[in-house]
This record gives sequence, structure tokens and C-alpha cells, in this order.
Amino acid sequence: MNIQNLELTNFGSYRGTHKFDFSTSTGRMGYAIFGEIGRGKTTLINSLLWALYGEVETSVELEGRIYTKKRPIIDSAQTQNDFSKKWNLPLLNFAAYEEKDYTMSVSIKFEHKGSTFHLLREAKSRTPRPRKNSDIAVQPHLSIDGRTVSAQLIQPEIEEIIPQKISKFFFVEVDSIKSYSALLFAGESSGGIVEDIEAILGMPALEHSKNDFVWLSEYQQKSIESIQTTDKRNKSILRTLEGIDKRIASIRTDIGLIGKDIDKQTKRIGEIDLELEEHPSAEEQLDRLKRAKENKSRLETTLKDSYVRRRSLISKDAWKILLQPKISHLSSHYSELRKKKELKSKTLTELELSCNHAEIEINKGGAECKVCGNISEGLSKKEREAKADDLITNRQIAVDLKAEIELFGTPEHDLVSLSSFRDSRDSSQIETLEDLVSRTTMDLFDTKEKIKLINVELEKADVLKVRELQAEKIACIELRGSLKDERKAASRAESDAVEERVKTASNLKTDETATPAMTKLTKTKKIADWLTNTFDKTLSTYKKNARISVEKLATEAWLSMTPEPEKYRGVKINERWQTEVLSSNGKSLPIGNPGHRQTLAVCIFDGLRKTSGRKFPTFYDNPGSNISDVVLQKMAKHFWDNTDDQIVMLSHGGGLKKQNTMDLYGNKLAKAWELSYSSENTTTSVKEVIQ
Amino acid sequence: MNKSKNETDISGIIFNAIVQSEENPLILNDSEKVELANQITEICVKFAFKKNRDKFRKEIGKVIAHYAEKYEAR
Repeated sequence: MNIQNLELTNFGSYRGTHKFDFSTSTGRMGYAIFGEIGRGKTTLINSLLWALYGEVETSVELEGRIYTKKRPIIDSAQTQNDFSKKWNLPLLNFAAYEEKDYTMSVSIKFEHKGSTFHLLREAKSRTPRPRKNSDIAVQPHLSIDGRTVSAQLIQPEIEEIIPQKISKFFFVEVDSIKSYSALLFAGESSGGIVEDIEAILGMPALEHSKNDFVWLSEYQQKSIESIQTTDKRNKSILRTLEGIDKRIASIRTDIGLIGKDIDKQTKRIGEIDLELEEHPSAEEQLDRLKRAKENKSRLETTLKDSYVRRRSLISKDAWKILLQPKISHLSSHYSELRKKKELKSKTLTELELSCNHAEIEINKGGAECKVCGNISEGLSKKEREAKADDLITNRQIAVDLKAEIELFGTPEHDLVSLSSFRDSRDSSQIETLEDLVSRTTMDLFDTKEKIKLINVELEKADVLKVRELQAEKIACIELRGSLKDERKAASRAESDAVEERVKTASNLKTDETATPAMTKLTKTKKIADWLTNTFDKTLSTYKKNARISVEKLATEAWLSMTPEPEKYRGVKINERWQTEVLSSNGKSLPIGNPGHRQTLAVCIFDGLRKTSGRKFPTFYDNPGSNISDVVLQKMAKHFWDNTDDQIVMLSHGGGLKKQNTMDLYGNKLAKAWELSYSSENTTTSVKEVIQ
Repeated sequence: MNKSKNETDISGIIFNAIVQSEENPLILNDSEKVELANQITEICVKFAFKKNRDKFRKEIGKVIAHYAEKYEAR
């Protein structure tokens, strides 16, 4: 499908009639719509959805829950001009309502499979002054190649072109990208998302049909059995079969109910993950607090152990420690004694030499003094006598001095012994411990301060909420696990019962008179069984091929959008549609950055859209609030280069910049428009951007 | 006889699966096989997203009954 033109009248912020002419002779399929927030970009997308399906949904997050409502065309609040408490605002332009112009319409002309379609949906008032939504009548009109389509066939025609269920893949907006990426990477793919993916890939055509072929086969089987009741011998077998049927029905009901419960838990887990994503700081702080507390506990244990060891070492060497002052005192005493002894010894040596000299002088007269080396003159008798007296005195002094020196004992040896005793005390261990205690005490202080700071941060964050959510998530996962086990057991019981039924039914005898009807029923059952098997096999092959195709296309998109493609090998998708990005060496990379997640989600959307083979224009409404300018530009290039389908990118100033985009890609674009407010009021004004 | 070579086009996939199946219980020539495959494919794709399956069962039931009556089984 290619849109040729779109015309909006009094729709949302568009007062009066505004036209978007998509037709072009250039063959280009890229379109850009620029406009700041609130200028009518999303309204434009909503107008298309309203024209196609007759409804526009809006959602809001209130007290942690997401509420979705259909937007009315008018609202009673409009009569009072009070929208302060409204979030699902009416679709009819406010100014139009004020000016009593109650007509709203959207007209799309498009080409699809070689035919020209004109779809017009208009809303008109049933009363002169409508006050509530039921006062408005909505009427769709569709013509194909000029032929009018009857009212009851309009929606089936549209559903064939683009089923409402898969429209989200073609009208892509920030919230759908965000919720898709969040669920995809949380490791808990929601059943809803997988269902949507399988829907765009057309799997319901195989899956639903296969289930109906099973139903058809069972229906034929029952018809066959009802013919067989004519034989009396079959009656007891039929009673048994009836019992088995009831059992199978009951098991299937149980499986269905369990499946619903599993989906409920999966959905809740997804919701919790989304809620938890909004409290990253609290989660992070809790993690930091846990680590800090563990560190504190470790430091306290180290400190306690160090104290115990130090006490043990001190008590073991306590006597040595107590003797320390005494040893120091003794050491200085011995040192002094040694000095005194050395002095006295020196004096004694000198005295002995002097005595020897005097003796020679007395006995031989002149002699060479051993002390000074002088040779004295020969002495007179009187002098020798006087010298002899001195000698006797000096000898006595020397004897006394010797005795005195002996009294000193051996202080030099004592000093050496004392030193070695003192050094024998092993203080190194205690010193190491002292050092450890001091460092640990410092670390402990730092950690306590850190815990205080984290607690302050945590007071600000909604920790209780996070803990509640985490506990709830664990409970949901556990419950889902046990439900899955229950479902497995029920499925086994179902298979056993079906097998038992087939065995029992094989004992039925055929009434020969009913042969023609029986032949037809048997043939019909055979065809239904054949189609069941064929669809079953095809479904598993197709699932695999489709996944490989999406993986390949998403990889191409990812490598063309990322600024450093050499860093990546590509995108990997598993059987549950959980996605990861592989580095150039094949390792799975964490995709924690919201911008990366959004880009990856856009790539998967692209892969799904292309794999589905559906020809329909794609609208990207601000794709990626967290995506960098570089990636956005590459994304625009990826979409606008060589596209066979119309690709419309709507962007505000925070996304694709008008001037820059026009400079870079103006030559790839078929058309570009700029939306703004008119100078008088807040209604949208449309201007085509001239290249 | 293949309608589509695209491995991911759902109509082509259903069509090819029916036409190429060697377990078809009916004795059909090539053009009859194509006709049957076209009819089944169209109904399956048309009702793919319908929650109420009654119409599908009715339409597909008619096609199968017709073939069961008209053609011999193997």
C-alpha cells in the first residue's frame, strides 16, 4: 500500500482542512515531518489509525499502573472547557467545537495491489449542540477503483490490507519501542510480545488453522462413532469413550486456565521489570549498601582477629616487655662501667710503665724512659732513694688500681649479653599487627561513612517499593514455574487420554449399512489429519526460517546504524525471541544503554516488517528519545536508502534536526513538511519544506 | 508449481506446503492440487486474525467436504 494523499479536518490540533500530498514523480519513498512537541505529529498518526480502524487509544501511567482508554470524539468536559483532569482528550478540535463546527473527518487515498482506494471516515453531530460522545455519528466510506464498498465489508477489506493487531509495527512510537525493548531484554519475554511478533509474521494463519483442522478431525471422528452406535456391541465402548472425552475436555479446560495464569504471571513479571527500571538508583544503592555492609563485616572480623592475636602475642612476651625499662637502665649502667674500667686500665698501664722506668733509673742510673723515650741522666744516691720511695708508693697505687679494676667485673661482656637478650624479643609480629589494626580501623571508619551516605541516598529512593517489587517478582517467577510444571503434567495426562481414546475407538465395529456416509466421513477426517500434519510441520520450519530472516535483517540494520560496526558481529535471536548483540569475537554484549536498546528494538521492528512481506507505509514517531544524533542520522539513511515502502519519519528538534536532515538527505526524500502553531492560537499549521 | 519462493511470505508458504506435500490422501492432478491449495490458503490467511473460528470452520469444512466427495482417496 502507498498513500497518495491524506486530508484531515478538525482532527485534534488540526483546525479546518489540512492536506498532505504524498504523491511524487521522483520514485523516492522517504518522507520527513518536522515539528516541536505538541505541534501535531502524533495526531497525524492517530488520524490514520482512526481512519483505518475507527478508534484511537491513549494510555497513561497512574500510581504505577498503565491505563488505556479509547479517545472520545467529544467529551462532556468540552462543554465546560475544563480538561484539567482529563488525559484521554477528545479527538474533535477544541476551536471547532467552540465555533460550533462539529464535523470531523480523515480521508486517505492510497494504492494497493494495483487498485486505487479511497477511505473516508467522518464524524457528524446528531444534534444541534452535541454534549456527549453518543451525540456523534461516525460513518466510514470506502471505494475501490471508483466502486463503493458496502458498509459491512469495509472493515474486513481494511483488515486484509493491514490487520489492526499488527498495526503497531507500522505506526511505531516511543512507548511501543520502549516497552518492546524493555520486555525483550529483561530475560522474561512476555507472551503478549511473542504473540504480536508471531502475528506480524503471519503465524496465526498456520497456528489457528492447524487447531481448527484438529477440531475438524475430532468432529469427523465423533460423527463416525455416532454411526457405529447402531451396533449393540459398541455401546459399552461408546460409554467408555464418553468418559474419556469428558476427561480430555476437563484436562483441556485445566490446561487453558493454567495457560491463562502463566500469561498473567508473565505479564506481571514484565510490568514489574518495567517498574523496576524506573528505580535504577534505588536498586543500585541497595546493591552498594549490601556490598558496603559485607565489607564492614569483613573489616570488623579482621580487626577482632588482629586484637585477639595481638593480645596473645603480648601475653606470651609480656615478661620481656616488662623488663624493657630495666634492660635499658642496665644497658646504660654497663656502658658507664665499661668506660670507667677502660679509663682506669689506661691509668694503670701508664703507672706501670712509669714504675718500670723508675726501677731502671734506680738500678742502672741513666736509662731510656719507656714512656717518653728520653734517656735520663745518671741519678745521685739521694735522688735514687727518693725515686725508690716513689716507686714503692706507685707500685702500691698500681696494686690498688688493679684491685679496683677487677671490681668492675666484665661490663663489656654484660652489655653484649644484654643486647642479645633484648634483641631476642620478637616484636616484628606485634608491629605488623599494630599496622594492620591501624589500617583496618581507618578502612572501617571509611566504610561506616560510606554506609551513612548510602543510607541518606536510600532515604530519597523508594526502597520499600523496590523491595516489594523484587519480592513480588520472585513470587511470580516461582508461581509461574510451578504452573508450568502443572501444565506439563496436565499435557502428559491429555496425551495419555487421547492415546487411550484412539485405542478404545479402534474396537468399534462399523455398521455395514452406513458405508457411503462412513466412507465420506473417513475421507474428510483423513484430509483434516493430513492438513493438521502439514501445517504442523510447516509451522515449525517457518518459525525457524522467519527467525533467521529477522535475525539477518536486524543485523544488517544494526550494523548500518551503529557508529562502530566493526565492533559487532550482529544480532542473535533465540526461539523465545529474546535478543542479544554479539561482539566481533562472538561474545554476547550487555545492552544496558537505553539508546542501544531502543536502536536494537527499531532494528528488530525493521527485520519483522521486512520479513512479514507486508507492503504498508511505516511511520516512525520520534524513534528513540535516548538515541544519539549520529545514530538517528544513520537510522534515517538506513530507512530512506533504497526503500520500496513509504517510510515517514516524524521528529521534533531533539531528534532529527530539520536543516541538518535536509542538507544530508534532502535528495533522498520525496516530501518533507514542517508542523507549527499558527500565530493566533495552538492549532496546527502545515508547511511543505522546499528542498 | 510454486506460488512463491519467498521463505517468509505466509501465503506462499501455505500454498507450497499443500502443493508439495507427498502425504495428500486424495488422488489429484497438478492443476487440481493448485486449486485446492489456493482455496485453503485464501481461507487460512483471510481468517488468520479472527477470534471467532466458526466461519473459518464452516468455509474450510465446505472445501474439504467437496474434495472428499469428488475425489478418490489413496
